Parts: sequence; C-alpha cells; structure tokens
Amino acid sequence: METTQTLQMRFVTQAGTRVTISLDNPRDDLTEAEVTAAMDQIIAKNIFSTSGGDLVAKDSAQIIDRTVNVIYEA
Amino acid sequence: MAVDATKYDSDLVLKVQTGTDPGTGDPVVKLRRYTRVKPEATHDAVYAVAEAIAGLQVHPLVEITRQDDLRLEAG
Repeated sequence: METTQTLQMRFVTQAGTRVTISLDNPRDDLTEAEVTAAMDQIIAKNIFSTSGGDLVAKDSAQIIDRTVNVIYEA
Repeated sequence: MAVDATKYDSDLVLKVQTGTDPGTGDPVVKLRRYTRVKPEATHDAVYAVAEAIAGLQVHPLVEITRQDDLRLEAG
C-alpha cells in the first residue's frame, strides 16, 4: 500500500472558470498562510496562460490523499 | 537567408531531489513540469513563482529551469 499526497491550488480565471495547479509531495506542516501566500504570488506574477485567460483570484486549496493497493502485479 | 526565431511556448521545470540512490549514494532527481508559461513572462517572474511553488513541497529544490520553444521562420 502506497500513499501519495497532492496539493491542489484552484484559481479563478478572467473568464470565470476554475484552473488547478497541482504539486506532489507537499510538506505536511503547511499552513494556510503559506499556501495562500504562494497562490497570491502566482497571481501577482501572472506567468501562466489558460484557456480562460489570466489567473485573477484564489478559489480554494486542498490536499488530496491517494492510496494505491496493488491487487495484482505480473 | 535570414531566419527569425519567435518564442511561442514556455515550460517551467523544477528539479527536486527525492532521495539518494542506495547503491551509489547519488542524488535521485525528479522533474516537476509546469506547462503553459507565457513566452513573454520575465525570468524574474518565473523564478519567483518557481520559488513559491518549491517552498510548499517536501523535497529540496536542486535547480530551476525554463524551457522556451522557438518557432523558426525564414524571413
């Protein structure tokens, strides 16, 4: 059994759609302030293009736990 | 014949060390690729975002790289 964690940062685009930027292996001591500061930085620097235009606001952030149980392996 | 190169796409690639090879002791480096970076984004801005993202994850950052794709056209 193997567990992996992914931090998903969701943003709102100019067109009002949601875009997620993901990050594998987030630190387990992350604070809300650290994550929102990084998201603010991503919005401020405006380096990513999306089909909905620029990222303009934060939507949410969550950590997804994924557990893999191998049933069969040749 | 002069050929013009135009940037049309850019990726941000973070190199992180996820461990060390138990046999050789060499660092194991994995790539974290972020696509759809604007070609016109400044290096300063890309670097700042790379540091912000890298600071959230558990593995130490080895190197920040940027890959620009250029389209060549004969003028």
